[in-house]
Amino acid sequence: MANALLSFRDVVGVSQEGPLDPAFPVSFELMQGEIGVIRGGIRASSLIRLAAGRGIVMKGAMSIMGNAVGAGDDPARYLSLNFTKKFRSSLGFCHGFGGLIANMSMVQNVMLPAHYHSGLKAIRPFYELAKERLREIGVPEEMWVLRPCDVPHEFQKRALLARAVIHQPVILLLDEPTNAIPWRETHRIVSWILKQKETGRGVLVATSNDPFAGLIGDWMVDLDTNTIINGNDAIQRHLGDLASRGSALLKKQLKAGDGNA
Amino acid sequence: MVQEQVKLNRLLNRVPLYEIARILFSKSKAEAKEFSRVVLQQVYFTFNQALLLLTVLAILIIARSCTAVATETAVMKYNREIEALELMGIPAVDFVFAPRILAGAISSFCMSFAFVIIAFFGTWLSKNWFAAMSLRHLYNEISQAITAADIVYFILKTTIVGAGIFWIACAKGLSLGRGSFEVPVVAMQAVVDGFIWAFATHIFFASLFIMTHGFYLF
Repeated sequence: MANALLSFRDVVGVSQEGPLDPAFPVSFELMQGEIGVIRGGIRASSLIRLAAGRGIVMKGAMSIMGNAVGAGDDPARYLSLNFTKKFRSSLGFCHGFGGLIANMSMVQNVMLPAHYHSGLKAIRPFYELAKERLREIGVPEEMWVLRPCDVPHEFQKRALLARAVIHQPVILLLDEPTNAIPWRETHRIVSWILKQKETGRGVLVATSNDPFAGLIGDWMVDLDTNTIINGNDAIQRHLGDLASRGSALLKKQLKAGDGNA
Repeated sequence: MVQEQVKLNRLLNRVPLYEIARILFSKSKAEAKEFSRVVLQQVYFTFNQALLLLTVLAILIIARSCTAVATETAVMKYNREIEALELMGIPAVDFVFAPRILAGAISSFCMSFAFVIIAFFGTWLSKNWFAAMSLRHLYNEISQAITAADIVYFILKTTIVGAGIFWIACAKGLSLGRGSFEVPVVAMQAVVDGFIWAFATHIFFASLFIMTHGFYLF
């Protein structure tokens, strides 16, 4: 059996976004080519930060790319970059809000992690790569040289998604990826995430967009109802009729061939 | 749970001094050496002559730059830019704080030096008000009075004051909670703490100098 990219075993913890529910220790395993969905508002954002090694594990244990973190470990050790640098280049993170460096252009923001981890080599190949990623996610060319403050939130979010995959990460952690994306454009983000899945990445998504969750999730941790649901059909049943109809509509848009993000 | 949250915030909001020291003394050793050499060559005036002017200088730095750095850091934290850098594996200390703190030390020194130059010409002009005095004569007089200790004190005091003010600005900016309304609060705290730091450092170095060399300013 393949090793899990990311595993949580009865984890209770706290991140800057707030604490997880101590009455519901979270357990899951994220494998290659799998999409896991975390539902539950701010607690979902908190859990995804824990998964990125940016919180304190109070109970249980988690393993991120083979790096084990338990309740007994010193948080100062695993929060420090000495620990996190080992797997940072294997991990892509998309913020739910903010996260773009304000005094850099969109394209500079996107190429930053790949360029930095290359040892600040010649900039041109990374510039071309960043442009390619921005094109894929549907950011218009005229916005590439603009700073984030000059660009609508929708395209800032797309740039964040592009940046999350610029250095070919193995795990993709997406905090509210459809936040600020108009409904008519959501299927493009779905298409983009499914492409990431096809490349073999493990994708963990924190979202409060139920139709979106119902369409993409292979399993789901619902922090609102403290349940873990396996299988896409079971997720759709759990989310209810309205979300299922939304998922069907998204699927229809996706099949119409417009979802080329 | 609350204690853990506080612990986490403390861990994430620190500007580790040892990390900055590592960057200054190991990464950029050649640059630091070159910088020190140039500084020593260019310092002509003594610590005690710049004493009063430097008090004004610290106020200028705090008013102009400390507020700017504290606000910028706080806004970066609010916009999750600091978190984004760390999540990308880019140390915020390397990328944001150490350059600012080093720049604070350098700019404080350079500004002090510029103030001293202005004071030198001011002295020469005022001397010529009553009786003629050549610039060379004044230069020779002052040069003869300078000792190595004066130069060391001058460098230490200016760089430590500048670096400290910028370190406080970065630390205060990082102490922002989660609301944008706290930005002016942390900027104000940075100014107050910067003043306390600057005056305390000035008093410390002045006392140390007077204790070791005696009071011969006037």
